[in-house]
Amino acid sequence: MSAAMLAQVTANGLSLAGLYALVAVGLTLVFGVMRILNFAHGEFVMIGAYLTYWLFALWGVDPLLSFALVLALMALLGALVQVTLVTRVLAAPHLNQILLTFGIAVTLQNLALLLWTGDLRAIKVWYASTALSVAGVSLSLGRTVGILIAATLTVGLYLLLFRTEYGRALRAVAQDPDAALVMGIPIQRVYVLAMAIGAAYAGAAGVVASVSMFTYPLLGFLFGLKAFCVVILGGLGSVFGAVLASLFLGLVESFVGTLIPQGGSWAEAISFIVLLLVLLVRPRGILGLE
Amino acid sequence: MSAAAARAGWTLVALAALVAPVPLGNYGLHLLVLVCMYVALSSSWNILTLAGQLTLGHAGFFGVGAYTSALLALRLGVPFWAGMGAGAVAAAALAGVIGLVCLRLRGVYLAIATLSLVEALKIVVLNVPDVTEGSIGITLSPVFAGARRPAYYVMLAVAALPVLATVWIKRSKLHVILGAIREDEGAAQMAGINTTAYKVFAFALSAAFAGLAGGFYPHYITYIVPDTAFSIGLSIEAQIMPILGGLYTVAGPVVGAVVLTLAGEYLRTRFGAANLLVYGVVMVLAILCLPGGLVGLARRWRAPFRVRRAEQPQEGVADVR
Repeated sequence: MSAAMLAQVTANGLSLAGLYALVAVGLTLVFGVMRILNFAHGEFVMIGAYLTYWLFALWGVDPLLSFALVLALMALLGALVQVTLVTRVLAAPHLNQILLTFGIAVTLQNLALLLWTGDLRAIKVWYASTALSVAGVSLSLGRTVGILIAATLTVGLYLLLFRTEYGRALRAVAQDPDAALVMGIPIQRVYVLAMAIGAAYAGAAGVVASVSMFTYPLLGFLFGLKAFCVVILGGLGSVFGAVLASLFLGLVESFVGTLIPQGGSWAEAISFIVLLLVLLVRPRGILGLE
Repeated sequence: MSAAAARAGWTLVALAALVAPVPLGNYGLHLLVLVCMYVALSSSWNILTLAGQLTLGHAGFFGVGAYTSALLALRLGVPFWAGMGAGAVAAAALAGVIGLVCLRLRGVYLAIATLSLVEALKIVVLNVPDVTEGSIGITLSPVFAGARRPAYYVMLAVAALPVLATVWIKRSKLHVILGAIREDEGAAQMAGINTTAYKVFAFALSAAFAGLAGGFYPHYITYIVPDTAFSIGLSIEAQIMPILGGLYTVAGPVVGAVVLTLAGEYLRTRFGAANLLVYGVVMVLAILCLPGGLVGLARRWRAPFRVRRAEQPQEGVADVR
């Protein structure tokens, strides 16, 4: 493998990793704060992608412009799901929590299928097809912007968590909800905040995905599978771990896809094998707490 | 419900199941076979929940059974009943391996791993067409030369096994052990129970019955492709039926399977692909509003007023025997 090709494959992997990170940080944040794994998280990505697509297809709104609107709408949807549904199973057994969020996922997925059919939909904007070439490595401008967005939002989440009072509340509840309650933190509102942020980040991933690939009802399911693998590899509840794990999975998928004939079609199997290996060797992931 | 009434009820169900095919035509028989297949899937899925664990990819084990049996028949001419046995063993072995990895841990790991497993299995089958025929699928000659009545009795037996296994668990020491693991795994461990071993056992048993049903399916339908063997829809159906009928009970998965197979068939003919949407909504509503399922509802309704409060299951921890 030549140096140029190595750089190209790495760039492709980074573009995937950026998307995975956007999906995974929200999922792991919600788990860290609420100890509930949201199986409908991938469906939030899918809805974000469809929102972007329809804003573009119906009113010609450029995804870069609709970005903020989609994020706000998704945060609202996340808060709504939290207040109306998830909050009711906070004290219920694991089994019920899993089945409830999985039921939400099934509902959203099939609602999308019914409303918008299974067609693959693409947004044709000039920057999606314009290639950016630097030192022999070429990446579409859309994907480059995607990487930048992912990096910015990830840093933004870090700042939110570690530099604001909201972040302090989120981290406090994640560490010990009872102690946080005693300190006067309104736990239920912190849960809503976590879910809103998680959904907004999933929505951001949806915007990037709608520009750099196709939008279809199963998009979220496949992103969800990757995100579960990433958050376990990174350590459930660890935002920084999720970022590292996204880099790892994105690069591995990119290299396997190039080095092995028809390797691209093995992507879902790779994440499954990574998942099993992590659970076998180091179940708490890279940065997870015991 | 008193033991005598329960026994009378089950005897009636068994008799009805035995004589049901007599007056029916081909379509009716086909529906009955499907009902039995779903009873097998939903009852077997329910077995694992007795240990407080769940899979989101029950279709994976159904598919492994289907492909094991279909490939044995295609390559080696193995008869269907031997293929079914092999399918059950293969599914149980796969569950054993995954269980040993995931069930040492508490929490959501098995749910995630099984969701991902189905996609991984589908990809393996699609990507090694030299062995599995890939996306083209496998065509088999119809079992019993296409006669539906004997096929129904085979599927009925396949459906009866996980139901009987659940009864056996409920009557044996396992009922207490699995219940303890479900309620408080740490406490169960402190009491000297090897919780991992019991969880893996429940998982392998659950998978074996799904593999058995899968082993018969391609011989009956005469055709198997990765999308039908490893379908998300099948996994969802295997979960929603026990949830609607009543988790952790013997009758719940059977009731749920009968109701939803017939309702699903109606929805499919009437509204096309909307049945999964309905299942999703039913799943959410049942978890939130109907913790004991239809069976729990019937019990609460039948119970005299005085004991009604005491019998109400605590939210979600319904152990309605």
